[in-house]
Amino acid sequence: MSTAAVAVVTEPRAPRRARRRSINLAVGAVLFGLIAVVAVVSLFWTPFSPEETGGGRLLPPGAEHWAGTDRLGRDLFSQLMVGARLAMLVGVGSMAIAAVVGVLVGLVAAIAGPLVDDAVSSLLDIAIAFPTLLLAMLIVAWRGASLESAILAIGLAGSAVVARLTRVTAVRVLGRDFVTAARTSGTGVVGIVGRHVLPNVWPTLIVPLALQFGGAVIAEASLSYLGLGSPPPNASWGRMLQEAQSTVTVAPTAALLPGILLVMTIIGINLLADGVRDVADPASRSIR
Amino acid sequence: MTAPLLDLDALGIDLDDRSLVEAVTVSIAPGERLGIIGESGSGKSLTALAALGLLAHPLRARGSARISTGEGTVDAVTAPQRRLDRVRGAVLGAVFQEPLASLDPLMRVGKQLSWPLARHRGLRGDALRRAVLDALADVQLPEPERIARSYIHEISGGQRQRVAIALALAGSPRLLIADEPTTALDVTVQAGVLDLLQREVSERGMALLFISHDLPVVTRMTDRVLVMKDGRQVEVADTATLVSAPVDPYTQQLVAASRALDDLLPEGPR
Amino acid sequence: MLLLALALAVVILFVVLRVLGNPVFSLISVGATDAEIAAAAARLGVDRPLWQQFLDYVRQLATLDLGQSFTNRLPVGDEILRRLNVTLPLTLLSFVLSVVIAVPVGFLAAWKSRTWYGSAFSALSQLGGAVPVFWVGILLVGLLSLNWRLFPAGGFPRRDWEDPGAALFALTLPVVTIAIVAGSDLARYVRSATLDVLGQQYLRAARATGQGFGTALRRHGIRNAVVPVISILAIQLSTTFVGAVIIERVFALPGLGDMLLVAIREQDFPSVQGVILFSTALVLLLGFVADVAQRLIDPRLRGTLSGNRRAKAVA
Repeated sequence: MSTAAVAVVTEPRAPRRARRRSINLAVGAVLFGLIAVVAVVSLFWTPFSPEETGGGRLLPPGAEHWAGTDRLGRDLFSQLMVGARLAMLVGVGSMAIAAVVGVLVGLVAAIAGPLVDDAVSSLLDIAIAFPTLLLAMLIVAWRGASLESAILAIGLAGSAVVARLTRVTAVRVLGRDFVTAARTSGTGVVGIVGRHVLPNVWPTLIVPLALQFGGAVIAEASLSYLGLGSPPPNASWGRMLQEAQSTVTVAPTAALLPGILLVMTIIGINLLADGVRDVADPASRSIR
Repeated sequence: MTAPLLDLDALGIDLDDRSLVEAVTVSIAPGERLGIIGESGSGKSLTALAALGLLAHPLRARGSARISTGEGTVDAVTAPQRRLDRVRGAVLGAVFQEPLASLDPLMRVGKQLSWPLARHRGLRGDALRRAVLDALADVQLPEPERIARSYIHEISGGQRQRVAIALALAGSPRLLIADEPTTALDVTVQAGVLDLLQREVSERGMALLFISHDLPVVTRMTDRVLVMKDGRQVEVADTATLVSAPVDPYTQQLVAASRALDDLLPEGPR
Repeated sequence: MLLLALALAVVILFVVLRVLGNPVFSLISVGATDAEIAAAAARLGVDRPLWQQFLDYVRQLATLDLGQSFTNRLPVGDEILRRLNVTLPLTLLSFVLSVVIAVPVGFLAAWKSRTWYGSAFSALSQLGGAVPVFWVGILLVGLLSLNWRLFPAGGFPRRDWEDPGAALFALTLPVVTIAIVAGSDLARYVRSATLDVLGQQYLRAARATGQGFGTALRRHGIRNAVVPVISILAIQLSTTFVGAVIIERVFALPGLGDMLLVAIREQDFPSVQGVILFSTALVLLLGFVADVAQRLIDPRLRGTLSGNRRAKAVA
């Protein structure tokens, strides 16, 4: 009779859960990777030019037009590919803006005195509660509809969460004894921030930023659907859906495919984010 | 010869395909005080939960854990939860390690205590209110009215554990299971809670199942001790014998380690 | 705190809309003479010094006067109220339905998390956060309205709520659409809150005193689970509101969202401002209510006003 290995009572489902997690990670990587690859490929090649209205209108998927054509005769497959590129751009762009702005604001709040901190925190609470889409619409109203406006708006909206997280971690790190020691020995603020605060902050941001990616893609799609996204020559899945709406019974593919790709992208990045979180911090019970 | 209050026979606990606890066989007679000692991960808390029938879902028990109620026996391993509900509180009482986690943070202390009191003693209204205050005074809490009105985060750790003890005693159980009741408390407070437990147990003539990793504490509170390691029972003996002449090498290690830390090891229960 | 937030929002809006965008040019054509520009500016009041504009603005707001639309010179406030006739029922009904969907799904997903259908529920609720609500709308319209002709494909009865039956019928598909998406997203939070509570030791300790599973859950579990869910609910209401704004486009409903979209396109700043201000006030109010509700239920939160942020972060 085997002398049982040490019983671990805290993580009862360790073997099964580990398996499920790696499946999640794999699926996420595949889904997201697919879209990313398509996006990159679209830079060099698409079956047709996405603006060319040569093919027949509203053709079903076939040998020549793999996904069919839209109501103006443009090849859907090419548009989908370019849409992937746009989605990636939006995701990365808004992620970058959210990260930079968020970290800066969070650091300022943590370093400046309690008065500034309270003011900024109140602002952040409001910003986080305020719906992203409305904020984006406001910024688009001000600057006009364009890809840059969309990315800027979505990025700014997402920076609030990043700022709050940064602030919490920064305050915690700054309160530790070794920081006090460093300051008494004359290390400047910048040095402390760079050497101690930032390395502690950025791991906590990985998952929220990844989730921000997904949110950005949906937000941009919504903006485009409403006609507030990047104007026509730029293909966006959201805009494709808006155009496909009037002909949904006649050409269902045009209405289905962009949506499916959107879902794939978002689920992909969400699963990836989950997987990364589990790898980086296995103690956190994944609440998905 | 009276039937044992709790009779564990080849009790095992599995998780999926792994065995966490294996072949635990021991019984507790009415009024007897048994201790279980072992490191974390030895399966001692799981054994107690199995005896209560409160193993969380993926964990499964086998063998038997027979509880002798007034009208017969109930096997905690196989009995339906409804049946066990009637046994818990009335025959078995339990105090757990973390009072902050074991009590409802959103409910006032008095209210939490009133539920089992109402249920087990059939009290209502003023009689219930008085019983709550009496129960709090019984566990030596000063100002029972103030404590009854408080939330658990407003009272100290030691006070919380006393409330937990009052909860466990509400149904006047025959056997009290105490799973690491003082481990989470400050050292200065531990002695008081242990004294309280001893007093209650002897005054009410209850049996006691005392679980801990701390040998001096266990020897103080018990007549017999069961040593567990890696889910198996390693040795069972009277406390005095176990401490003075341990048989199993693991027990010897335990005793030696305790002696090295604390040379005031008593020779038997006070 | 609420007032401070509102005040801040007002200032920010003013800055964005008046200072950074010049509304004059939307009203005049290219090649207008200086005199015409000046006249247009005077009409809009943008020729006066900035601080004076701001004071006027604040004064207007204090009397709940949201100005007049640039495009049709009708009072913005009235228009907002009129549009609320559509958007408010849409939002509220969607919210209620989403909660009705989310609570059992989330709860079951947690309680039966080890069974196949529990996992299926979890997987389904993951979709909720990933699916664009307007896509679901388009698909549902395609299937149920155009193909099977069960529901109207859009539009709202001209007679508004005089015929409640027709109005509700027109709102059915939109409400269901929003509820499905928002509900499955909410289910995720309900699931995690339930999982959290189910694992709590006070349930186990309560059962050790003889309480049955259902009783213990009812007495101790529900209230503890509700606390984090309340703030989620407030956000959920905001989410359904935004969902309504988008869905109004899918179903051609004359609500607040439609008003906002048209106003943006026509650069009708008072209208844009009015709707955004209204939405902001709404969101802030909801947050405030949620905060109060949480404090009522959870005695641990009652201590300080803002929860003593710095101490909390360091602790």
